[in-house]
Amino acid sequence: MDKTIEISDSTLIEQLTGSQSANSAITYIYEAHYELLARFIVNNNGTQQDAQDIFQEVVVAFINLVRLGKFRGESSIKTFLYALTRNLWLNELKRRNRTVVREKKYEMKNERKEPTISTQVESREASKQLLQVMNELGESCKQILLLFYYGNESMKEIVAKTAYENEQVVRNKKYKCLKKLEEKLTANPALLQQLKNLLYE
Amino acid sequence: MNEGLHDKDQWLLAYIDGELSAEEQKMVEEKINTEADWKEAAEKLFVTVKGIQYFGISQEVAAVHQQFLQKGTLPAVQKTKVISFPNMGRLFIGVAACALFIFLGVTAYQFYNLSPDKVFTENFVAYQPGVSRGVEKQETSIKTAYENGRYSDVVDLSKRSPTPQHEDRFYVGLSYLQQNDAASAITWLQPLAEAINPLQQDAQFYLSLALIKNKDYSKALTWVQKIKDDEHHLYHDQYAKNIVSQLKMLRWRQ
Repeated sequence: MDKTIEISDSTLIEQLTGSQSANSAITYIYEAHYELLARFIVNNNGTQQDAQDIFQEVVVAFINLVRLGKFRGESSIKTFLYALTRNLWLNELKRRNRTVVREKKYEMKNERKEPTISTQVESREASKQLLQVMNELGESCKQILLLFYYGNESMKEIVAKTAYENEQVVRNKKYKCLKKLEEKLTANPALLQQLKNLLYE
Repeated sequence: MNEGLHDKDQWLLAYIDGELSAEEQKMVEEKINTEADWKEAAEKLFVTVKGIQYFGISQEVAAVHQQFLQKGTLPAVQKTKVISFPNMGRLFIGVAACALFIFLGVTAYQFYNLSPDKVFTENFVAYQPGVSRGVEKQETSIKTAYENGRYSDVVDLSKRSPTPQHEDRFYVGLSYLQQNDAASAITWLQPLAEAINPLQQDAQFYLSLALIKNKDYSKALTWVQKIKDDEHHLYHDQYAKNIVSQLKMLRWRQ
């Protein structure tokens, strides 16, 4: 990667929580932090693929925590990302029945001190299931729901971006898609509870 | 009141979408707080909406991730040898131990190779007669012999002269020193070092060297310290930097 112009932690948080797209902020996180965090994984029985996959999940978890107001800035973003990576990867190794002996004690100690990170780790499976559920909704539902609830776009803006006739049609479609999603989540109580843990703690 | 909303789900959806008036929001919140079915429905809806937002984050990150993969700009990191803290501690101790061993070895070498002659030679500087230091101008035979390096003649002449002058006594002392007769040099130089005279400071310096040669390290140390402490002394900067530690080492070894 080319040398990255440094962005302060506070600026990065602003970019992640602002109304604009987080694309540039996410790109910066990759440029500034990937190598260090990937090295941790590779140095601890991980492959390059593992490093890529885990890092991607780390970034998602981090942004979610920031938007939930759970990243309080008590540590630097770098430190926080490292802790997330370490916890995610060590749990993955546990899941694969491998042990990293010298990290075990540290991992146990860490879980007591960083419940926010532990919750993100435990809900890794939940986020995978959520992805599957969203994909089952179909592309049109996914699009409307994401535009409205993630992109914070108005009905008028959504009409302009989609093939729907007017705002009322979009509103009705959105309602139906939301109910459909809600039913799917309700049908999976374990997933619903895991999402509650993930999103609310 | 919003007349388009008929059931609980629609009220809750309008609430979460921010489409209610302040009064209507308050009504919904009260329902959520007081009625179990409203609370349960609200919770499901909130989680669903938050789930969409979480999904949105994962999609946006996935898009950026794909960009990096397609450009090939995610670096392939190599496994590095990690020196664990215990190993680093051992490494540090090892380095410190080596450094200490080397230091002790050098110190021991210096200690056992140190000799009074070595210290004398390092610090001795030949006295140059004729430098204006307030000495008497009349040339004596003793002085002439010293200037020509005839140290034994200086000694002989001193035995024949009943009361040599200050300057001559000084040359006699130096001549004994040049002949490695430190004890005799001390005899001639000590009175000059202790009494006020034009050559007192010169005598003090050479007396200290004579005492070193004579292995009288304590007395030598006293004179050396006196001279080093007096920044106006002619020989204040004459000694080698480590002469004090060397004399202490020689004294300890005695």
